Amino acid sequence: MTMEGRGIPTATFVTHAFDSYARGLCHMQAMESLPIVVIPHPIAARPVDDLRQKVRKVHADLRAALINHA
Amino acid sequence: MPVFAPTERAVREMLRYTDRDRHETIAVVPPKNGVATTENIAINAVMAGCRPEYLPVIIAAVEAMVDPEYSLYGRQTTTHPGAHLLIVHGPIRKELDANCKDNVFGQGWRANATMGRALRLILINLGGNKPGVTDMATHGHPGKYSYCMGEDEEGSPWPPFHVDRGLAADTSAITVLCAEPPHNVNDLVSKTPQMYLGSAASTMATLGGNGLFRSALRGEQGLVISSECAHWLADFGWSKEMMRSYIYENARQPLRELRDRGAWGKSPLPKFIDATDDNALVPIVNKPENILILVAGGHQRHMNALLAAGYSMSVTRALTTKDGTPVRSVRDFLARCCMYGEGGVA
Repeated sequence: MTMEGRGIPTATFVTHAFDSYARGLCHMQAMESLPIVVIPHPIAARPVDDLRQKVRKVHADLRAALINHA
Repeated sequence: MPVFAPTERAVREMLRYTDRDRHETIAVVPPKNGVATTENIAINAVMAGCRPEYLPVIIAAVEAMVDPEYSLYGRQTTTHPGAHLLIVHGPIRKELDANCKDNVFGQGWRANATMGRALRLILINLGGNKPGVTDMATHGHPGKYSYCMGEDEEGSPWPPFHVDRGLAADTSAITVLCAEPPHNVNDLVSKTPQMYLGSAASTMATLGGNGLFRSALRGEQGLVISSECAHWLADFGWSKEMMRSYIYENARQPLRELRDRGAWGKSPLPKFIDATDDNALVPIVNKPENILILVAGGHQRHMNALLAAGYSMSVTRALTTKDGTPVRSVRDFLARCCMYGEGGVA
């Protein structure tokens, strides 16, 4: 939020378990436009292939957050 | 949980115990950034069941929690279970009857039960704390209802905690520490301070704790010991400083035990740890001063470890009038209230 507030493009990763939490905090901080990229939960201690698959799925969202939003 | 109705009369009665203007902003409470005015704090304190004279403690605690060192935003929203332990120091402990002896973390004392509860209500009602919505604690702990203790200063052979923090012994003060639930350490038979505190060190260096994995960051870990054990240690010539050093040196785990488990790799290791040495002993904090020693509790040789997450430092604040003058007694506020009118408003 601090970086985005300074005009530096960001993409904030959250897993879907934390999606509404992240959006709620953005709302409380008046940062509704903060680009959030949602990745399937869980990601902790998962096999690398599983993580790669999850990241590939959101790659387009990540690019959009960093480029389109900038 | 039941709450008391914050009637105008009850709130007015509570505001007699402060010289702050009722509309003065005491703090902005994250993550919702709700404004904690003197009046809002008093309303929540009434709802929690506080006696009016508890208000100065609650105001000081709210101010302490929004100190940047405490990192309240992160503590309010983390998955870690930490709750805000309110520690009461100085003469006001006795005046408010804050328990510092038997069952110090348990039931039975209105001051302990309601002052901690008031802080929680402030975090909910003003800070927007809501489980599963903004408070993402995976499990939380029962102290999130109320978590409050006094220090057994009369029972301690050493200077009280707030004196360690640079305040005069006769100053009333509070400390807030974001901590996990007390973890009991039962050592009935150790014959030396080294063995006895070794039991505490072992408990504090549990592989599931944050400390071992965050010791390069800001953070503290606490230990509560009873009066009789404090005197037993003092009889061996031990000071709190010696205890801190001993625990710092012994509450450790070899690097090989930490590798690829817990929060491994999420934070750097302390600079003095050789990351290639599997036998390097990793501490739970980055210096002995960050081991907090408190004297409280009843009889027997139990201790309690207060483990913390890191990223946050405890904050101690003297209870003062609004011009910063330390107060010893809540009656000091009544005298000012009569001088300036309700809530310090002339």
